[in-house]
This record gives sequence, C-alpha cells and structure tokens, in this order.
Amino acid sequence: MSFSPSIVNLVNSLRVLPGVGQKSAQRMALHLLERDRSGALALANSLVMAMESVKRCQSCRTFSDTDICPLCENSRRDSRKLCVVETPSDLFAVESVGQYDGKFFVLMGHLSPIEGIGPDEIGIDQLMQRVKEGEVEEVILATNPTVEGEATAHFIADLLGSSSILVTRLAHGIPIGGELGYTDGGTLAHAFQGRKPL
Amino acid sequence: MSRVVADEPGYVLHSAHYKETSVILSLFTLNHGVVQLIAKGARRPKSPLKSTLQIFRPLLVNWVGSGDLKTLIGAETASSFYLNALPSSGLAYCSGLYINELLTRLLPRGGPSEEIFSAYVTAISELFSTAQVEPALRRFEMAFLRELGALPDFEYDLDTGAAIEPSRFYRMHHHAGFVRADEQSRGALPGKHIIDCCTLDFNDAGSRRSAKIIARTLIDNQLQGRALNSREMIRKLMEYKHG
Repeated sequence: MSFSPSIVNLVNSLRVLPGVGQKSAQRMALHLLERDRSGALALANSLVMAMESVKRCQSCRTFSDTDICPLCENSRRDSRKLCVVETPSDLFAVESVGQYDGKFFVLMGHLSPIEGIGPDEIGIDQLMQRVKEGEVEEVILATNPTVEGEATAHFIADLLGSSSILVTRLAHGIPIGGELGYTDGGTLAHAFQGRKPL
Repeated sequence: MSRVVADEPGYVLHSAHYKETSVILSLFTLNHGVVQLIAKGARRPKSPLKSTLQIFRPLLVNWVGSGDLKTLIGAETASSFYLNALPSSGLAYCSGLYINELLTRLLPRGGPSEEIFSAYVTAISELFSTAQVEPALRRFEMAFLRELGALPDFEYDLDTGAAIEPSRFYRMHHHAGFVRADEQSRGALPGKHIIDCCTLDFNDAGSRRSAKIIARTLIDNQLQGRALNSREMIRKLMEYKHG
C-alpha cells in the first residue's frame, strides 16, 4: 500500500529527527494525523518560529532569540567568571546544577582537524576578544573529558598563558555511586592526581 | 567469509558519531594499516568503550568483517598506557593531532605498516613526555616519508654524485635529492643541515629549521594541494603565543 504524497512527505520530513528511521517516522505521522492534529499544528508553528528567529548570541555563541542571550544580559551573574563549554546542552547541564553564577562561552564543538574544525570554527578569536575586553578574572574550561576536549582546553589555556587570568579545568573523578573496581583506568588515574586533603 | 581479527594493537586516529549510539572509527593498526570500524553502542551512557576508544591511547582491538567497514567486537587499553600521562600543553596535543591527520590523509588503506606503527608509538610517547615537540615530529615525518618512498637522497649531490659536504650549500631538486646552490639563492640549505636530517640529529636549532622546511616541502608534494588543518591550528597557536 502506498500513502498519499502529503503523508509520504511528512514521513520523510520527520526522518530528519535524530534516531528516527522510516518505521518510527511512519508511526509519528499516523499518530499526529489520527489523534493530535492541534498538537501537530502547534509543533509546525513552533518549528517555523524557532528556525526563523533563533540565532547565535553575539556574546557567548549559544542559541538565542535575541542578539544577546538572557544569560549574558543578566546583570546579577558574575561576569568575572567565564565557563567555556562545547555545546548548548553542556550549558544546560551546568545551569541545571544551579551552583554556577558566572557567565558562559559556547564553542559549538571541539578542535578536530580531520573534520576541518579548527580555532576559527569554534570561535577562538571571539573568546579571546571577550576575555581581553571584559572583566573576566577566571576562565573555567569545561570542555568534555575526551582527548579532543582536553586538547581544546589546553589550546585555550596556552593562548591565555601570558595573561593574568586564572585558568581552571573541571576536575575528573569517580561518579557518585560508582565502584573503584569498575572505574575506567584513565578516570582513576585522574582522580588520583586530583586528590584533596580531608 | 567474515574474518575475525583478535588482539590487534592499534590507535584510534579519528572517531565520528554514527546514528544515535554508535561511532565509526578510523583505526591505525600494526598489521592491517588504517581500518574503518563501526563500534555499535559505543556512545550509550554506560558503554565502557567510551573511555577506551580515545585517540592516542594504545589499544588491543578485536573485530570481524571482510568488507571496507569492519565491526568492532571489543577493545581494551594496552597496559602500558597508564605509565605515560596525557600531555599538558596545547602544542603537544596539536602535534599529536597533526600526526593523526598526516596518517589519515596520506597512509594508503589496508597495507601493513609496521615501521610507521613503531614510529607512531615512539612519536606519541615522546610528544607527551617532553617539552620539545619538534625533534619528535621531525623523526616521525622522516620515518613516515621513508616508508611512503618519498624521502630524497640525503647523501649525494644529484648532479655530480659527490657526497654532500657540510660546509657547502644545496637546494632540493624535484623532491628527489639535492644539488649545489648559491648560499644567497632561494631555498639554499647548508650541507650540514641536510646531513643532520639524514642522521636524524636535531640538536642544532638551524638543523631543526632546515629539517622543518625539507619535511614540509616533501609532505606538501605528497598532499598534492590538499591542506592540513592541524598545521593551520599550530600556526594560530604560535601566533597568539608570540603576539
């Protein structure tokens, strides 16, 4: 049985979503048509609105409706601290903990020369500019604990090396509820290097 | 027939996300050269492969498959890894990424590569343990070019067949060797530097500079116009560091 062109079109469009293949896309399309037309219209509207209005914050590069995002505009946040993360979802993760009251800079990736992602692609010039002109006293490098994330952190640390700014890196450690015997050797080695007096 | 390969020493050169939870790896191995592998489920939250399949980490890898894309069955860290910590300078990381990019761009797929593999192991451990990255990089480049059959004749003048003399000046000729040149002429290199390059002696700053020029010329010739992104990255790092 073949569907009508509009349905085929909808199924194909839904496949742009991550993790959605032919089968799930078909299920989603039929569900929306059968049971939730108003929800689907709302989704369509939000998609159009978001795609047309969301841009990059000029100050921290995260996604934002406005030229400067609410986080960067918020005067109650401590602009002496700048936390550098790889993606907007990392920013959300740090925010959801609720402990950090400084500002952010989102690289939108990490250095990966084989994929053609270099300093320009992750906004290094913009970051250096921001650090130079602002009141930043501490740069917290919160890139992922992968070798590429580590390389990106050290790259930025090297660039800031000559300035008087304090450069810190998130600690690596054993997860809460974890067991030493099942912890990866690399994590354990890091945890040992970063041990603290009690 | 699918072939199973077990406990093959290798290093991840690059990994790219594939679908929701998998990665496609470009793996540099001792006996099979560069192979492409799919690691299914390697990005699941609890996957132990996540920490294992990192670049610069010596691995023992098992895979199966006969086509171009093999399937990873398992991988573990070779025990020697925890003896050397990861580097603590941006330059050392960038240099390592440069070596990975060289291998990705220039090493022919599939063929055995024991000499290059051993040069790689040495280069990575040197890069991560010394502050001086240049000699390690030059030694790797020379070993790599030799295996690609792209190393010029460092010992004899191409024109006359006479031995290269330390006190005279030469220039590279068609990437095959050196011919006598006027000291003032463009691209003229002291014979001593060429001899140092042949014997991999990079103690002298001048020799290091010349070796860099020689390696770059030969690698550019191999790349046939393609750019190396990591080189650009190192240039940028240096530019910022030195104003």
